[in-house]
Amino acid sequence: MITLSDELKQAAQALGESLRATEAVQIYLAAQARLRADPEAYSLEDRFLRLYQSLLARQRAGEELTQAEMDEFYALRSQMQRHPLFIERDMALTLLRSTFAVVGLDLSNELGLDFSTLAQEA
Amino acid sequence: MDFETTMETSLIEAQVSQRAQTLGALLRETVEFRTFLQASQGIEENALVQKLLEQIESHRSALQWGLGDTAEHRAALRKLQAQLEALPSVQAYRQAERVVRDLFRAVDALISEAAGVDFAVNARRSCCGG
Repeated sequence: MITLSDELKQAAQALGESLRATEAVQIYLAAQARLRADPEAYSLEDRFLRLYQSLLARQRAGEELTQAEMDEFYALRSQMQRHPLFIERDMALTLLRSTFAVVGLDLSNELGLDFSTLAQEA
Repeated sequence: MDFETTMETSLIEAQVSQRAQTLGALLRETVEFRTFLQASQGIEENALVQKLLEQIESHRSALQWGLGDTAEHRAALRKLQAQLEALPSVQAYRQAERVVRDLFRAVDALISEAAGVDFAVNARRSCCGG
């Protein structure tokens, strides 16, 4: 377990707080909140994620998936892709990612290596 | 967007950029990061490491293009990889990389918590210029 200096902690938190104030994050958080507040959308996403995880685990275990299961997966995904709240959230996520990529680049330029890649699991 | 909103947006963006640079500068000064840079430099300047890496690359490339005997290339790769990983400079690099990854992950967790959204995973640039 690594111990961060107070100065480093404060700098990381300050950056996070500035990011939270950006339009991209505000739009994303609002879109995400609208999605979570909608019972139909929430249930759709929950069903999709459960099915996706179950199919993935079975496929990784070497099990063959049936056409009916694949059809159900594609039907749910297609329902989500057409749902206005998911469209709104995905568009907000795209904007957020382009904003974060620029900030990640600022950080990486200062370091001389890619912060985002190293900060993720190997 | 009105003038005031545009100004506010620009100010926030400038603040984000400045804070990212400040954080980068602080990270650059940490023992963990300096050790990692030294270890990276150590393997870059090590002739044996570079020779082994070139040989590994040549076998990988042969496998990729379907040249020669696949089993021979795989056996050679395993042997070269083991030789590489046994070198003290490579072990030092691996250790330093683990530590710097831990440092970056801890920093990323703080940024993400304050931002309300995961930072590093969303800050990665896509493969195709996105």
